[in-house]
Formats: sequence, structure tokens, C-alpha cells
Amino acid sequence: MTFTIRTHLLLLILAPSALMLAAIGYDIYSDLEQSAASAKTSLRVPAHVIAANTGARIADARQILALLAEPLLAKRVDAKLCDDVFNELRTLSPNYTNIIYTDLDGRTICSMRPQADGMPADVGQTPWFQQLQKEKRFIVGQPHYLPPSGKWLLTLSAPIWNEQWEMAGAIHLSLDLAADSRKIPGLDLPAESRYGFFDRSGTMIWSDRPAESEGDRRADTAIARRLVDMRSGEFEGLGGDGVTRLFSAMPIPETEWIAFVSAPTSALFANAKRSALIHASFALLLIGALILLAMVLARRITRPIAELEKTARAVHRGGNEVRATVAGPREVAAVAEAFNCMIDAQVNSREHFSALLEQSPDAIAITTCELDNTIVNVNPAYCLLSGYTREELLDHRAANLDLWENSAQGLAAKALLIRGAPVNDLLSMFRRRDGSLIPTSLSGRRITINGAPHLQVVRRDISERMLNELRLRESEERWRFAVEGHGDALWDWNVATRTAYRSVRFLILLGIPDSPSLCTVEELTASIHPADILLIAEQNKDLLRGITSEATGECRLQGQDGEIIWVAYRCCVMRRDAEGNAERVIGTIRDISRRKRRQQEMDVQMGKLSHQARLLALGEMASATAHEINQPLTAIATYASACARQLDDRPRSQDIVRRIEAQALRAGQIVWRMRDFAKRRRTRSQPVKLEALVTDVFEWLSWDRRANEITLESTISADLPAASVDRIQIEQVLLNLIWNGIQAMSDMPFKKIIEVGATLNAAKNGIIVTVADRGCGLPSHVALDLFTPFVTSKPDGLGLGLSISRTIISQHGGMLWSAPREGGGSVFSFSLPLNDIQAPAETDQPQPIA
Amino acid sequence: MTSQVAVIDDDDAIRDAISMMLESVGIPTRCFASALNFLEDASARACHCLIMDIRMPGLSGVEAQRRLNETGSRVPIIFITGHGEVEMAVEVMKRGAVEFLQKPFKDQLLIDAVQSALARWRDALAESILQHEFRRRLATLTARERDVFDGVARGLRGKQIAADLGIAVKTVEEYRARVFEKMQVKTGSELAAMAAAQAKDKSFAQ
Repeated sequence: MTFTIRTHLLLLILAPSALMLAAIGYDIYSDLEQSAASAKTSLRVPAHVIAANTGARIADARQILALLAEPLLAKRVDAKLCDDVFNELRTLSPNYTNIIYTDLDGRTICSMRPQADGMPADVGQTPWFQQLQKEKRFIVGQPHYLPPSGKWLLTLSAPIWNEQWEMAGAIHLSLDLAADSRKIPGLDLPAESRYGFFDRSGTMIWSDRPAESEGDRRADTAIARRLVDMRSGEFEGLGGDGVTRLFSAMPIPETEWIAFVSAPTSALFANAKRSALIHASFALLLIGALILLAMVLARRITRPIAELEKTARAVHRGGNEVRATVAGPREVAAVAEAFNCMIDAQVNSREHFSALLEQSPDAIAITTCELDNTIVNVNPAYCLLSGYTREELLDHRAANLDLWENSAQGLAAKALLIRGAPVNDLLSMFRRRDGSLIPTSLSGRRITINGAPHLQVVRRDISERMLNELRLRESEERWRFAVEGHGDALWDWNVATRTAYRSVRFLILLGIPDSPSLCTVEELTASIHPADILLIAEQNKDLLRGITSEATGECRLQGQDGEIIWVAYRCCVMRRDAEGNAERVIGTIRDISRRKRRQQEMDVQMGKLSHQARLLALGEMASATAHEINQPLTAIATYASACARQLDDRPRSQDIVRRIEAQALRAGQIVWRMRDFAKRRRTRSQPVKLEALVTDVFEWLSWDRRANEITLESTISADLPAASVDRIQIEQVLLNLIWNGIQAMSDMPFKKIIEVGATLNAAKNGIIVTVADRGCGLPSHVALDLFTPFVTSKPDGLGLGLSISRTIISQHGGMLWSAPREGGGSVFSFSLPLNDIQAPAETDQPQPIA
Repeated sequence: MTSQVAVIDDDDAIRDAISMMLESVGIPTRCFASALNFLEDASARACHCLIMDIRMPGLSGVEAQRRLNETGSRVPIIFITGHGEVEMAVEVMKRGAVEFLQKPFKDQLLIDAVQSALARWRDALAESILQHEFRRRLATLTARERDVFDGVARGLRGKQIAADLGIAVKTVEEYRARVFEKMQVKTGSELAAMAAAQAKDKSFAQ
């Protein structure tokens, strides 16, 4: 709910006012209550007094009656005695109207006062006597009016008992009720108050105002009935005189009468009413004053605000010069001041905006925000671009002018704009006045002008740019085609935008052929294997800084399914900015996984081979050492034996010499054991095609840089039958022989060729393999001991290669030998069994040299 | 008969020691530093036993054995080796080597081998003398006598031989008596045994 400031202030005033009214109301109410209570009390007290007085008199009379009816006295109910008794009584209580004795029939025997007519009265027919006769006890009779005296009399009667406790007569006492009922002293009753008492039937027995007549006494019947019924208490009612009165009733003891006091309520509540009136008027006055104050304050606050609002609306309508008045309460004044600042700023920005609009080289149009949009404002650049004048464009629908070329894309962009989504750098064709279409870069967003949504559309002519791009793309496509034609994948990294292009081949290589070519540089680097990324990053840093002009190497990429792809990469910076920082880097990668795998397989095989070679070398060394040591041991043992035989006559010395012999033999056995241990290897023969074996060996050698300048040629025919050999061992032999050849040719100036050939032997039961070089030939000092262990022509050789080779070949049941080659160099040959020949056969091969 | 033993080893000390040891038990020796030296020395043919190393620079022991076999020499060879290739041992034993010892060896083994080889040499020598005598006697037979000899050696009766040769039994008897005389035997069975021994030797020689 929104309230005005005035309402707020009024509410503020009324809230406490309501409380105050409630308090005053309660005050008045309690005042009235209090005055009512005190009025009731003021009436109850005289009522009580009246009742008490009358009761007391009746009680006195009863006492006297009881005294008079004393049996001793009464026994002598006799007219003679009357005077004595009455005299005594007269002194006792002079207030009684009369006292009489009567007999059982009601005839007066004696009377205290003389009867009016001088005749003794007969009371036998009176209601009270009949009641006495019936009840035979003290009774209070009904008051009765005595017309001549105009008094109301009340007769009290008591029976007189004789000595036999029989009723002998009665004594009666009459009271003048009005006699004592003067104005009640000590009571300050209000004016117009009345008091008196009623009997049981509602007849007014006595009143402080003398009744006009008998009928008059019964005038207040409704009030009297109510008083009698209530017996005790107070109520308000309409009196017989037509005045509203407060009545108070109180029963009189001994009788069934009711005493009452009444007073007009107007008199009783006059004070209270006056006080309530004063209170209420004071409160109303106060509230009125407060409301007035609130209105004044509200007006003081709202007036400057209304002023401010008026100013704001004026500014909204375009009043640039309008400023708010700084007035009113301090806060409102501050708002007004701030408002003025805001207007200043807005005016400034409006000026800036229009300056920008005027000077912008980009075509800018502001239109209404609807599909069928109307142009609201355009800048000169827009007119230039479109070919229309400003007047022609303004208030025209862009669609009518067909500027948007009404393509689906253009409409979609417009729909986006209308929905509030910004459009950036969208390629959109623009139709000029002459009907030509030019490519533009469209940007736009929804803006609010004067509270209404508008579209701001910026178009930039990009025909020149596109032409350039087209040219560039053509040239790039040409070189990409050229590079990819070689099987290389391409990437092109734009350092500034942090984006990268990946060629289709790149994506195929990664196993993601359907991914977009364009990606972020993070995506590009994510495909590099983590183990290589540091190295690449280091290289890259140098490249970007210009320390190196290009980077090459091999690294691993991670394919889509985690597969590792080995690639050789090469990249260089295509463009640098003025400070030498790289802007664009282009690189190629080539899949070398197959080569790497082959290399790894080769490494494994080479590992096996070198392990085998070490074992072989160990065996050969052990064997050679055994021979070398066995020679002197044999000499020692034999010398000792010869010596012993000449010492037959000196058994003690002979024994010693025999021990020398025994120890030498023991040493020999140790050497044999050692040699057996080293020789404990088996050859695992299997059918092997020598052509394939030689190809493998050539390939291993091709990994070795030292073998690079050597041409290896194999003349082995593919249909040569398979040999039964231990593949690794024969590979070892071939490697040894080829290495020897390579080293023999190391200083040769001419083309270095090693030819490996294999043919069936003459008997066609074996294969002879030859390794021919054009080296320096065998030095004469080596030729003799060629296969002897530790004999070598190489400065760093161990002299075991040929020795091992010979051992291997002899274990295959073949021979190994060498010969000088015609025309220079040497030929090493060895024989191998064919696959179908199981045991080493008798050979008719050329015998080895040693 | 005094029998010389040739010791062929490229190691001077071994040659020296073996020679010294054998001579201490009364076996005369001659030493050669290489197999080639031995083969080229004509007087070396007088050696009746060879102790030879298998691996030697130049000519190996195996090769020397082959060349000796080629010349028809049946001199017993004891091979000693510091390498002990099993294949090689099998090969040289097949070619008639009498023993194959691994260095270093117990002296008695060598002595036993040498003595057994010498004994064998002597037996062979004796047999070869007998053979030589047999051939000499056989050569004195005429063609007809030779035919009769063959028949008798095959254990044929006189009548059968006469039928085979187409001559009279009496003539066969005459020829047979002359063959017996020339071959210095007294009975036909003696002759048959001699012929059988000859035949066996021939097959051995091959």
C-alpha cells in the first residue's frame, strides 16, 4: 500500500489520539461509575437509618407488650388494675398512642387513653385480633388509617396467659408511625428527595410528604411493587412525579415493610456529568490541533518533492535547461541538488553521444523496438553507407527501405535484438539505395530512450576486409595444401586471440575428425603428452621471444582414446609485432609412431642381443682363460710328476712333489668347472630365413650413427631355404663380422660397401654365408691368431668378437673362416646347417684357418 | 724295440715337462713346437706315438691328424687339450686317436695311454710285417696257382675247384701242393685263415 506523506503524518497523529481518547473515555466512565456508587451509598444510608429507627421502635413496643402480658400481671386482668399499669406505662413510654386490654372476645377491659366516644371499643372484628386469636402469639398487625386523626396506626398484640397457661385475654399497643418520622437528622439528602416505607402489598404506609389522599398513596404502584420485591438494594426508575430517580430500599426488621429513599438522578450525577464534558472537549481540542500541525508539516515536505517531480518530468520531455529548486527540508534539498548533478551529467553524455554519432565512421541507426522497425535517428555515416539522405530515412520503416536484405539471418538477428540479446560482429548484407548489397559487420543492442525500448544498430562496411581475407585465405589454402600434400598435419596459432587452427589431418591424427578446426590454445596444448609439455613450453618460450627462429623435435601427442602418437614437429613464427613478440606461429607435425614403434622393437631386440653378447663374451673369456691357465697348470703338474718319478729313493721329497702335482690338478679342475659354468648355454635352433635375418641386422645398424656412411648390400635370394639356427646368436655373428668390416673400412676414402651373401654349399646340405668388405685386409700379425681370444687389431677391442663368433658357429656344427678378397679387403664366411638337417653332419666345407 | 714318442705342443713348458716326465719312466721323446715342424721332419716318421695339442697356431692338431691319415700313417695319436670341445673329441677319436686328455692330466693317465699306444703300434707293426710276407709269397704264385689259392681260401674241395677251372682233379692236387709249398702252409685251413686275415687288413686299411 502506498500512502502519501500526509496520510503517513495523519496516521502518526491519529494513533496516539485514539489512545488518548480511550484513556479519557475510561476516565469519564469511571467517574460516572464512582458517582453512581456514591449516590447509591448516599441513599442507602438514610434508608438504613429509617429502617433501623422504625425497627427499634417496634422492638421497644414488643418489649413493653411482653412486660405487660406477664402472667402475674395478666392474671389480674381487671379494670381496676388498669390505671396502675397504665400509669407506670405512661411514664415509661409516652409515645404510644394507646394501650388496651381486651378479653377473649375483644371487648376492651381497660384502655390507656379514653376512647373518643366514651364507649369501650370492641376490637373483636379487627383483622389483627382475629389473627391473634388464631395464632395465640405476639403479632404485628397491619397498619391502618385512622381517619379522624389522620394517622396511620400500627397495632401490636400479645396474648395474656392465666395460671393454667390458658389464654385469658390480650393486650394491644398502637403506635403512631408518623410520630417519630420527622425529617431524618444528620442526612444531607439532595433536593427533591423523598423517603418513606411501604407495606408488603406495596401500599405506601408513610412518606415524608403527606399524601393528598388515600388514592395518592397508591400512585407509585409500579415503583412500590419493585421496591417491595427487591426488599433491599438500589435501582433507577421513573418516579410518580415524572422525574427519573434513584431508589434505595431496605427492609424494616420485625415487619414486612420496606423503607425507601429516592432522589432525582439529575441531582445526583450533575457533578460527574459536568466533569466528563470538560474532559471530552479538552481531548477533542487537542486532537484537532495535532491534525492541523500534521497537515502543515506534510505540506512543507511534499511541496518541494512535487516541485522536483515536475522538474524531472520537464527534463524527461527534453528540457535541458530546467533545474530543480533546492528548497525544503535538508534531505529533500540534497536530493534536488543530486538530481541537478544527474541532469548535468545526462546532458553531457547526451552531447557526447550525439558528437560520437555524428563523427563515427560506422553507420549507426536507432530504430523502434519491433520487427517492422521505424528509424528514429541515423548518423551521417549511415546516410553515406545507405545512399539515402537523413530526411529520407527518418520515420521510415527500415523494412520498407529493404535495408536488412530481409534474409533469414538478418531477421533472426533482429529478433534477437528485440528480445534484448546483444548481437556482436555478425556478418550481414546491407542493401544500399542503388540496390547493391555490401557485406557489413552488424552489432547492436537494445537501448532505452525516453523510457521506450529502441534498437541501436551499428554497421561497419567490411567489404574491403573480406576481400583481403579472401585473398589471404586463398594463399593460405595453397600453402596448406602444399604442406598437407606431404602427409604433414598443420596447426596455426594466433597468439593474440589465443586461438588455434588445426588441419583436418591433425584432427584425424588425434582421432577427433569431426571436431572443429578452430580451438583455443589450451585445447591445442592439451593434446601434448604431459611428459613432453615442459620441453615444448621451454622451446616455445624461446620461439615467442625470438631467441630461436624455429623449433623442431619429437614429442608425444595424446589421441582421443589415450593412445600415444609420436610426432616430429617443426614450427616457426610467421609474424611478429613491432617489439618482436610473436603474433602468429605455424607448425607442422608428422606422424612417426610407426617408426618409433619399430625403433622400440629394435631396441628390445638389441637389448636381447647385447645380453646374449655379454653372455657369449663371458663364456668366451672363461673358455679362453681356462686354456691360458690350463697351459701352465699342465706344465706344473707334469714337471712335478717327472720330478716325483726321479725321487723314488727319497720318498719324503717325492710325496711333497706329488702334492704339488695334486694341487695343480685341482686348480685345473676349478678352471674346468668355471668354464663349464660359462658354457652352460643352449642354442635354440629354429628355421630362420636368412634374408629376413640380414634385413633386420641392417636395420639395427641403420640406427647406429657410426654405420651411417656405410652402404650395406644383401645379395641373398628370397628363395634360399631356411637355416636351422639360433636366430639371436647368428645375428650376433653377423653383427660382429659387419662391425669388423665397417671398422676395417673406417679410414678408406672410397665408397664403403659391405656385401652380405648366402648360398647353398656344393653338397646342398648347408648354407655358406659371406661378409665381404673392402677394408684394409687382415694384418699379418693378426691373420694367424684371428680367432684366438684376446687377439685384436683394434686399439680398443677386446679380441673376443671373432672368438665368440667361431664358438657360436661351431656350436651350430659349422665353420668360420676368412680369406682375402680379390681386389682388396677380406671375406669372412661361415657355414650353417639347413633346416631339415638335424645333427651336425660330416663336412666337406673348407677347413678353418686355425 | 725302442719306440720314440713325439710331443707336439706350442707351449714350451708343456713340451718340456711331458718329455721330462716320460723319459723319467724310460720312454724316449722328441719335441716339436708345431704340427708343421713334425710333418716336415722326415726323421720324425720314426716316432711310434704322438702326443699332440688340439689347438695350435698354424696347423691345428685335428688338421695334422687328417694329413697323417691321408699319407696312410697309422701312428697312434694322444690328443691333449686345454679346451676340451666334446664335438672335437668325438671327431678325432673317430679318426683313430687313441686317447683324448684334458689339461692338466694325471701323469699316469698319459703314461698308460702312451704305453698302450706303443703296444698297439708294435702289434700293428708285427701285423704289417706278416702282411708284407704274405704278399711277397702270394706274388710268387703263377696265375693258375693263384686261381687254385683263391678256391682253397674260399674253402672249396678239390673237385669243385677242378670243375670251376675246367681242369683235372689231379692237376688241382698238384697245383695245391705247390701253393702250400710256396705259401709255407701245411693245410688248406691254415691257408684260408691267412687269406681271411689279409682280407680283414685290407678293409681296415681302407
